[in-house]
Amino acid sequence: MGSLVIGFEEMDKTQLGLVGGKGLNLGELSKIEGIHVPEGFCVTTVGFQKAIEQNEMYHALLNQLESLKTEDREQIGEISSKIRQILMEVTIPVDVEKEVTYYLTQFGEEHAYAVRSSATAEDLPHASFAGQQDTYLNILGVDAILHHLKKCWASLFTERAVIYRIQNAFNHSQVYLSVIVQKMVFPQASGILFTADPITSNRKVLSIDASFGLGEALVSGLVSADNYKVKEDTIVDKMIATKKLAIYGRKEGGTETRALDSEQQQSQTLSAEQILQLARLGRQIEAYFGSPQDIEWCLVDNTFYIVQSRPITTLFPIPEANDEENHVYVSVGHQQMMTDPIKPLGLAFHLLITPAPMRKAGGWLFVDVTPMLASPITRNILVNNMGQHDPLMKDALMAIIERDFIETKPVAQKAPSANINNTDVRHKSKTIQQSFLI
Amino acid sequence: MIKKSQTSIEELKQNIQSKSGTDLFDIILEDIQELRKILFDPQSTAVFMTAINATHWINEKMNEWLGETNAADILSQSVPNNITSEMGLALMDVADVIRPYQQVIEYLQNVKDENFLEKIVKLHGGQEAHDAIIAFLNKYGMRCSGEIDITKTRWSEKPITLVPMILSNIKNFEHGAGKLKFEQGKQEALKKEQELLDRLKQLPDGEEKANETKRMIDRIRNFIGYREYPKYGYINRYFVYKQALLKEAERLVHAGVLLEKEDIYYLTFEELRDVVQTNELDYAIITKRKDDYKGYEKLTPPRVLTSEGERLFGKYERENLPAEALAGLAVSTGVIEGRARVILNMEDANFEDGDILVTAFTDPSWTPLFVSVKGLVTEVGGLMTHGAVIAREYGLPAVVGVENATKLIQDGQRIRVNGTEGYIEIL
Repeated sequence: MGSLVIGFEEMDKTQLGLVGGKGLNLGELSKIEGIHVPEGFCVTTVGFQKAIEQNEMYHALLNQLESLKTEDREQIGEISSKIRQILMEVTIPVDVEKEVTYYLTQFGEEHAYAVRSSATAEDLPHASFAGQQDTYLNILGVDAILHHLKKCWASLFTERAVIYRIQNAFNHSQVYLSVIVQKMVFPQASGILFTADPITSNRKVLSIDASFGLGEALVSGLVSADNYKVKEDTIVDKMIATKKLAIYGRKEGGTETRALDSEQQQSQTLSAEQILQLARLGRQIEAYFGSPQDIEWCLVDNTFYIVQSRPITTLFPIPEANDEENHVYVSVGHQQMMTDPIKPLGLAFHLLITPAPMRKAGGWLFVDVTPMLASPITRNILVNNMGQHDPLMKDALMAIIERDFIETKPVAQKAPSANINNTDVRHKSKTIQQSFLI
Repeated sequence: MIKKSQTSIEELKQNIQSKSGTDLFDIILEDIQELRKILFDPQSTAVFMTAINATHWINEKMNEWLGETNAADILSQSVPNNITSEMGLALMDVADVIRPYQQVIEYLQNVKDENFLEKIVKLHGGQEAHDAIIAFLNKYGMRCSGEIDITKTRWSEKPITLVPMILSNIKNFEHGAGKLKFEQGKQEALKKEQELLDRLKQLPDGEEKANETKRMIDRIRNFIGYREYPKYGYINRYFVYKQALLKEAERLVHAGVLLEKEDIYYLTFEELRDVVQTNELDYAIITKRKDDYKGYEKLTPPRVLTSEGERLFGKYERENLPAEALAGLAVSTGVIEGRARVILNMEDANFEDGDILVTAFTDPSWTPLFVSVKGLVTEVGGLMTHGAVIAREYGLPAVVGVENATKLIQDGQRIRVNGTEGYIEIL
């Protein structure tokens, strides 16, 4: 196959520019053993370019658009509407159509498909174009799929997308679109899995949102979802929501929203066994990508399918440690009354100056107070001194202490080495407190 | 100790001038050892620890003996030798110089030009204004908001930052208000001291209690001002290092190694030294770190962080707060009502008389704003952090550690700050 249409399993990382972030991600997911991804393919950015390269009207209108600013609302509306019309009427290149048909025959022409866009920018392949990614569910038949392919292309020129690009200084002609065509699944349940707690940022806690039917109900905020939290293969928290509605695919294509009966509304969407199984899949995907992931999943006949996975970018960074032990860090910025992130050279200077065991976490510095928490004596000194100046710091430290996150090592009174060690810890504790008071 | 620090900074300035290339990095590393020696000198720490311990002692004992809460607050007003609170008063003096010259004031009200100091001299009274501002910068120009980050733009690098504060001072005060304010604070502190001592003498063992208390009050008043000095010395040196490094960066720009001299901010000290030595730089690093930094700007750092990545912000366990009140830590006594001004960027500060400053944090550079407001609310901070110490010296009611204060309080809302009990009410 050429570069116009690429199946998920044939993709490789060099093709990001061809298939876009979302497309490539599905390709990567398809390669993980034991992870089920509904089959599908991408009509690449080259496929899109081929469709419009000879279209003079399109290029002329695009040129007009380049010169506009956000306040030219009327012109933006007018020109983008014309471009959308051109794209809806464009002739799909014969090669593209041939390859799309080939894949559909492979995966089963009688099946329903989801058609969605995967945008990419020339220099910024990772730039996300939030909210401009159209998704059409349950599309049946080659003609309908090709029609929705054009609809996705046209969605590059909704007014909102155009204004977004102007605001973020993206060139309209350098933003390309790949379109994903993926076999529809008709799940009894679906939802989102975060491989880290999105609220506390805890990387050891997985958070699962789940509701009945298609995930669209949850994503669009139509229903409140159950939430389960899993830590180290144990369910540590469960919140069962009242799920009044669910969205299901219809046989004849499209979707419908159905009210759930009162018993189902209150019932737990996933069984304990399913929750743990999904959590393990989440860890596997996270390990493959090497960073915490935000994963869209669905459950069909007791099999989990993964339909999307992307890195969570809003987590607070963790300082690097050279062991696998638990560590507790205290913010330097709160003591210094400066909580803005610091640039690398600023961090470097601070590290050269401080006598305290300071660690970098993104743009911030933290002091590793683990050794002080491990001794009952210095633990009290630390908590009381901190508490005297900042009760919130004390409360946060107490919360950690109460759950035995750091084990205390009793100090053997008679052994001289232990005493030396204890003095050393006391000295360190003093150093830390002094460094805070600069 | 103050003298010693000043002499050592002068020596650094002399030594660094002739240095370039990797020699510069060596001399900075060498000087950092000197800075560390001064900063963590046990004698130096002992000075302000004495004052801090005395503060805790006074608060505890006065509460126990006389039922007085936060007694140390008023006793700390207008102490001598506080380099940070003096800075606030010094900027009031700058305003005093400019106030008689209407033409200069009008010029400053509209100025956007960063080189305004060169142009101002042509106006009537402009030379006086220029000289006053330069004198202020010579003493305090190494400071700026976020000054512990060496990459942040110092006031001397961008003097226009000071203009809104100077204009506020011109508008809100009369000539000599700085000295008057200091004197008033001092009188209040002395009055409070006398009152406490008199009351103590009425108690059993009163004479002894009064004597001990007097000793502690003297410790506070003699030594707490020094609490601000080590950081001033440290920021002084930072600016010397920075200017020298930027000169080196300029050379790298000319050599085509760097696109902009500020790009050095995205390298570590060692990386920068390598670039200076080899004249080579992989720009992908700079681009990546600029992107990362933009991401960090959207995050909020927690007080405590674990190796699991969990963020803990801490909660107040408080009873008897008025309904809907925002809890915080009382760091400077007094209750005040006024218009909240939510200011995240010092350059946006434009106060009317009676306003209350609400912001994320106040490092020493925010001090000049304290004189123009009647109350202070911050999201972070503790009893001994910079903003709190200065608020007490100015007798400014203050509550710190009010989580999300800049989001929960809207700019322009009327609020009541209770700096005695530690909460904010939105009225």
